[in-house]
Amino acid sequence: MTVHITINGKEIEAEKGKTILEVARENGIYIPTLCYHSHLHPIGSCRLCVVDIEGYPMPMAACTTPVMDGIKVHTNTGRVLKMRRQAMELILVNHPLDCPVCDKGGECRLQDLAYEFGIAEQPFHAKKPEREHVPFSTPLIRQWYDRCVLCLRCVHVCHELVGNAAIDIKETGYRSVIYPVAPERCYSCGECLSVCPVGALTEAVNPLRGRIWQIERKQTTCGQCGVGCQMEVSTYENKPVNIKTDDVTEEGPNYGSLCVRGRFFYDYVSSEERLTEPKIKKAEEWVSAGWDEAYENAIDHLREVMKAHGPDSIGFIASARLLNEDLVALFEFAKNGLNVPNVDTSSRIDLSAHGTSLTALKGASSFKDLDGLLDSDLIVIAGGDLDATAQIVANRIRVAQRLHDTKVITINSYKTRLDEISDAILTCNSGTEIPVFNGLVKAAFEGSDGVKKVSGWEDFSKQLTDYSADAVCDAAQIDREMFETAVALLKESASVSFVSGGGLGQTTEGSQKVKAFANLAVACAASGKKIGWLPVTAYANGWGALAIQTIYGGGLSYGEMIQAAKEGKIKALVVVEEDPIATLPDTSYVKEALDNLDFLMVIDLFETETVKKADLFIPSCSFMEKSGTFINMEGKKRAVNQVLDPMEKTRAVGVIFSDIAEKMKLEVELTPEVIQKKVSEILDQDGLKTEGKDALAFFQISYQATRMEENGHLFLVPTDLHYNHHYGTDEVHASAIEKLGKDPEYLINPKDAARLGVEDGSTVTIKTERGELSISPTLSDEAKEGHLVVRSHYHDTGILALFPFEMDDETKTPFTGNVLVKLQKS
Amino acid sequence: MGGVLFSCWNGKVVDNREKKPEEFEPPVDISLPADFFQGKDVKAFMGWGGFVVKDSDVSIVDLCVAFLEKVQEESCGQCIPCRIGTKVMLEIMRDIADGKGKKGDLENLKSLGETIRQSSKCTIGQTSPVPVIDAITYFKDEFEKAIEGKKKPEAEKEKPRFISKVTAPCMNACPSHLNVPRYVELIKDGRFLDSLEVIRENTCLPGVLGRVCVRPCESNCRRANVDESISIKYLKRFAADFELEKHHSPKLPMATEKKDKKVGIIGAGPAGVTCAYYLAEKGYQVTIFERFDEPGGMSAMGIPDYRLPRPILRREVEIIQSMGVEIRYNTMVGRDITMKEIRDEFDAIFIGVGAQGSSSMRVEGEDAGYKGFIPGVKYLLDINQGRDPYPEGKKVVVVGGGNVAIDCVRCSFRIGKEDVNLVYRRTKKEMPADDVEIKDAEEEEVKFHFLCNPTRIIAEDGKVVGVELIRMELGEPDESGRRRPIPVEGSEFTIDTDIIVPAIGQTIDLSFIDADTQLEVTRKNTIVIDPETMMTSVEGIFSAGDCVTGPGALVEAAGGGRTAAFRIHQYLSGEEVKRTDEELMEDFFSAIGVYDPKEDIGIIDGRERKHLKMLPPETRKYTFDEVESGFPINEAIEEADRCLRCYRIGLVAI
Repeated sequence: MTVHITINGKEIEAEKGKTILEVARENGIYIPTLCYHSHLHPIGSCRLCVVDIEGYPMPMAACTTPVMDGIKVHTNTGRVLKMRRQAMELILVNHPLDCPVCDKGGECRLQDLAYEFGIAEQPFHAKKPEREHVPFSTPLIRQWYDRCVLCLRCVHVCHELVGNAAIDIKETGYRSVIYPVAPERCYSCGECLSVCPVGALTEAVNPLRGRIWQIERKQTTCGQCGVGCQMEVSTYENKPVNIKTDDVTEEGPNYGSLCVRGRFFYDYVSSEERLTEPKIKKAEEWVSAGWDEAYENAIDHLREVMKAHGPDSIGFIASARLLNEDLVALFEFAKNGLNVPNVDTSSRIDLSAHGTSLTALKGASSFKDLDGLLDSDLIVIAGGDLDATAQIVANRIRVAQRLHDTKVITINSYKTRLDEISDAILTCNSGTEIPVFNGLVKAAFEGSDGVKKVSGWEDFSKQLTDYSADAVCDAAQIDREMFETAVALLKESASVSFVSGGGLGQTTEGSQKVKAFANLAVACAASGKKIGWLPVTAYANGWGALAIQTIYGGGLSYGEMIQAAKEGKIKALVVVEEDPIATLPDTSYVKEALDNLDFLMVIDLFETETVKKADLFIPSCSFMEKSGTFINMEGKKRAVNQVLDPMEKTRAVGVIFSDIAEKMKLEVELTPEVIQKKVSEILDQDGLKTEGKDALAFFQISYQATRMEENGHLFLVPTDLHYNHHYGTDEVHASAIEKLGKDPEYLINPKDAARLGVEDGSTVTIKTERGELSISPTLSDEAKEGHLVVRSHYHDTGILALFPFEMDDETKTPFTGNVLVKLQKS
Repeated sequence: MGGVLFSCWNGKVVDNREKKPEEFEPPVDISLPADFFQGKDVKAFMGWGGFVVKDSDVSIVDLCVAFLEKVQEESCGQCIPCRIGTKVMLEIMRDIADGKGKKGDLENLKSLGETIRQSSKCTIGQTSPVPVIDAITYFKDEFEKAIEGKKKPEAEKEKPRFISKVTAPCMNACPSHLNVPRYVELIKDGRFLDSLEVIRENTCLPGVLGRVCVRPCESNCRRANVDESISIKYLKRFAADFELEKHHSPKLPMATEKKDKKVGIIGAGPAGVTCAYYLAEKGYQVTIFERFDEPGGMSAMGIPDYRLPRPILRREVEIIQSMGVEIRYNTMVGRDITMKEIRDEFDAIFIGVGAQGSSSMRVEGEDAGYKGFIPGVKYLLDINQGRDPYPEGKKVVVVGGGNVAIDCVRCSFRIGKEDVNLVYRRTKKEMPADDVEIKDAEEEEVKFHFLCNPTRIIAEDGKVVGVELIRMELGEPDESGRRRPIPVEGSEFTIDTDIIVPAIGQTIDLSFIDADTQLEVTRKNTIVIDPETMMTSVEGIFSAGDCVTGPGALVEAAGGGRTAAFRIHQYLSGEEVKRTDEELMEDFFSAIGVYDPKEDIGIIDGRERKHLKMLPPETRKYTFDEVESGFPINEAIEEADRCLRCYRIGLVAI
């Protein structure tokens, strides 16, 4: 609906429901603001946007006043100009004159406004309140009380978007201050820092700073997880100095939001611990080598193994965080150049379980972009604490609920932060996700006609006989009322989004779990609901890597190559920006496998555990030092732009393989143009190819219940282990990590603790067939009874060593989960 | 009480300073109560609309300083003009009071004050400069003398004591004084659980009041002067439902230490459970005696499920029990336990038994014991306990115009009655029932018979078969302000019916009180209490709710129970049992009136109030399912966003 208004005499047609400020901006009419932020509900604290409307005695804030038909707005009457000026003069009472040393100098909203209003004198005075400095809610941000204008953007963003309420306004009147009221809830995501219009919050991560006129800023895609956030990297003397989002040209998928990794972990790329020289191991000692020497070494060893054992004895394992262009060069080199069949990427771990289910859902009217969450009546989240793994997704879910009253179902084996806004919290026993999904399909859709028309239903419905609500609630130990609520929500919602985290696909029976979850989506689609399907990907280019490896096809999987190495069938392995030791279960097994190799070549940025075992090391460069593309979790192509020159002599992976191919005189051409062409054959202009729709179909699920064993055993539940993969290899070198601390948390339910006689913080030993570990668990309701939850952002916990090396039958991927540990007091 | 020397309220000035006392004109737009507290008179009052001076000894400069200090204490810090501007004003004013004022200060104060008034976000900033600007205008000499260092010497008499309080029209209208602007604002900000925490500071029944409150707040809502009042009741329901729907356990104020004193409470109705909650919060051991097997008193027995689902009430009472309150169900005082036993066991007693009897219609046949003659409260009680009070009867006539009468007719369809009638002696306009309820009943096709009254119950074989009615017309207004109905002679007619339900009023049954307990009661059989102490004529026995006030609103009973809890705490901790400064101010504000329905707010209108989704009348009238579904989150936020946050500050000098 439209309304007709005038602003300063100009006739304007405006959309009903918009505010005067929004309409003015759309029509190029300037109204000054300080607290207004387009991503937040209007705050109305600064009062700079006051305008007059004819016929109304009081001026009104343009940011909070909606347009009404026929109103005549004046933005520059004498009295509103006076009010704005006085408001500015009041803000400047006691505002420090430290602009020359303030981080915000040169890009400060207050500076701009003071300049605009021409405020040179200060007519007002008030005694400055004295207060002791209290550390902010995160050590990554410093708070400057005197610079704060209390616009409250930080408080609102923390409540509205992040759902944390870690900070709030405290005290009253002139003593009011932004205070860390609940620092324990702070994620250090820095949204508050990002929206601060002045220098009241400044980054306390990097001692290296640059003034606005010294730095360069360029947009790129964050390479630290699969969300694909758009961000601007500020660089100074070829080092990143901060990350901003104020002026990113493309708003989605993150709309200016970032998480702690994206915003604060950037300086690992300029870490002094970066390895910048090729190295060859001679007699157990590293010896620096020139690039040519390193290339020769690689070529000699690969040829040698090829000659002795054939191409089947060689394997390539690459990270799914590499650019599409890097990966195509690598696959071309290995598959078409060397005729090696075994080339795989870590997207196998990340996404292969989802790849098949997505195909099954193609027949549904599905959307898979993050904005689709905002159109959902219901969002079902399973297998992950999204706030830990993909906070941007969690933020979108909170926004969906605030704007559309979107309902939420959470299905996990531990408590997650999104449970706080969940309508049905199905905290199930570890490994019982399949019964829960099956039970939901049975209870909500068994009687409906829609599902009967879908192929596979007849067989699948036979499987469902065992999954009555009673049986499911009993097996999974979930609350019956919550289960019924979930069923009712599934029935009544017209559009449903499904978000699956790594806790499904990367755990025991991962492929079956994902299929069972997909069946729920299929049942919804079959019942005429609009559905969305969003697998949260850990690796920046998970979908791209999966698409590329699918096209090139064949050979052993990542896990199978390790197994084959252990069995002596693989003799040479080239590992590219991956760290199998830190990624796969059964650490000693993986180490033995690598030790078994005749030749191990590793390309990486840092000295990982795997690098330590290498015979040849070649240094590569980070996503900030090269250009190309990622396919993010939405399946969309995101541009990666080079913002830094490669550190010292490091080279991009694509360049390295093209160099070696040339030296080997292989019959593959790896020029940028050729690579570009290959990439465009595999991927669409916008992202993943979306070919014709398949018919909807139900999967048949194979499921074996794990039995709880005798007293003293707990399920070991790593929370989204692989999701934090790169914390362990690259980001762990970010200076922010030192400030945040690295210790993992082990959570045990107080009832288990009482039963087992474990006291809060006491040291205990956890033991499996594969190994043991000494830990100090914390008593917490966040752990479900019978479970020991490990929350860690890093790999040095040692828990991977406790899992056996087993692979999923379908995805051929080693998994973690459903392992019982025996807990003993030390 | 002396006259007023000077008053300026809403810009209307009455200046008696140069007049003799007998010539004093009364103030305009404001009238101060005769007595502030136990004969102590107010020397001056400063508030949102201006100020009033009664005692010439009061220094206006000091009054302004005290007022602005309070403003700084209350300014929430959420907007710049109020947060910083009133601080600047306070410092200038302090300098003037200390003889350090400068030329030009007064002009600066006026100019800044005007900006703060017009550009602040809420009414603290929009009203607080008003009395200061008025004072500077009309007591200019006094300020100028102070600037010259010749402030009125500190009065030889003792300096007045200043008492101040922040209020809002909705807040003051609420018998439980809920901090409405705050909890509505927290909903606007998406902080629903924080909002509920604020609500619980003043009531332990948010889910109940959020559904069935008569909402005096909404009829005192300033937004109505702009367009429509805020849907305060349903926002409260929203906050309560959010906690429940998202499975959060309530954040409760927990007693820091357990007290050894015990309080016995008679009746688990709104007054009783509220009193229990606030006593438990202070650490007392509380036991409630309830004659039914169900908590809630009249809110459980008298309000049908389609308005107040039983689980909501039960949960709120469970919360109270979780704080350590014991409820002894099926325990009727006088039958299962004597008053004496209770008096022996407990250090203080609270009576909150409500008004559970039905008033007599005084018509022929009423006492004959006919089948089908069922008093309103009994009728609802049976239905709420899951029984049809008279299954054979299919036609119903309910007599009365209040909420109980409406509940009776609406319930009738829901238990399968086919022909449902309501008889009321005045017109729809005079009906005391909630307009919304009347509209809902109309939609459900209740037959209304206005301007008629029963004269005789017609029975055959001991069963009701009809009722004789007489037409009425409206005469002069009576003491309630409504026009008195007068019977039209010879206009009798009859309606066939199987059931007659009188619902014209409720009575109080105090028969449980034994002869040893000399409880003073009124002619209407309500309990007499001292309004200052809330104690009955018997030491240590307190009372509130319908049994004191006569049948009233749930929120009034709950408010009474809460206040009584504070008095009982004073009594048990050996303090003087009396109203606190805060309550004195609340009563003072009520006397002068906080809401002005004629005020022109001066801002743009047209943001309509949000309404709840309702089940359609044709399906809802046959079920006890809740008729309305609560606000979706986005609508709750939008509705809360309409709130004008009408806080204001009042300060008295005594």
